[in-house]
Amino acid sequence: MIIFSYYTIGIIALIACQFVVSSFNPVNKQVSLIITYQAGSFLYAIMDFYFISLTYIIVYVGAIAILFLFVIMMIPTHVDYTKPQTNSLTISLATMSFIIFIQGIQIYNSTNTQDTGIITYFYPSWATSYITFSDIYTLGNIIYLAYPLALILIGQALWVTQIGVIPQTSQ
Amino acid sequence: MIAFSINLALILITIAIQAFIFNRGKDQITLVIALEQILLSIGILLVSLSFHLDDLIGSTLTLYLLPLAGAESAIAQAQQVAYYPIRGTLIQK
Repeated sequence: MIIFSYYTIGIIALIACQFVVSSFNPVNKQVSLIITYQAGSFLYAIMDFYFISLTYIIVYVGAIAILFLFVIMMIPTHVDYTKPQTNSLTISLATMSFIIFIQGIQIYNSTNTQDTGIITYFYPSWATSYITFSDIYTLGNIIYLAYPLALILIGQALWVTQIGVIPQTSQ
Repeated sequence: MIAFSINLALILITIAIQAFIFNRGKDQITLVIALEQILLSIGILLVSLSFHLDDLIGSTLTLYLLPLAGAESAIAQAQQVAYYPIRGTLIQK
């Protein structure tokens, strides 16, 4: 059941990617991109990375997609339909089928197929729950205790971005 | 499931790179959208490999990649908005 849902959400992500690439209206592109973000977030949630999935929704859909919508609404970005356009649908379909075809050849030639299912955590006793950490606990240990310099550097990158962008747009 | 997740990331990134290449001289919004899609596909690959290799390197790197994606998207669109009065349009022929 879990693997079936994983495959379904993966196929939804592929279809949404097709629509992103091959639609003419930029608003349709943006909506399809939001669907792709949601699909990625659900894939993360299936794999027990709950913090990253919710962060993707908050940051990608809540901030970056809204920023896109601001630009699309403020500036006319509509394509002229009278002129011939390059539709990327055929190119992306060809790429997808080619890659799937190659993978199919590899699976056909392999002798041993190994596919591990999803490991479900359940707590039958307090001893097991005592030694099992959540994803937020371990990620917090890595970011704040193991490599704190990386956190400081990415904060500096965001600060530099702010300094560069604000005088550019305030004229 | 490993094969499906790696194939998914590979297909997404290839389609996004081709969208970037084929819309380079025409549509500027598509370029930034393709960049965001590239970073998303890399995130899917990293987190799925982190899950299957029983490690936290991939997910940690994805957490650092997320604000970088937002920052470069903000810079690109701020440039588009700032230079729109001079160019007159975001679509070149």
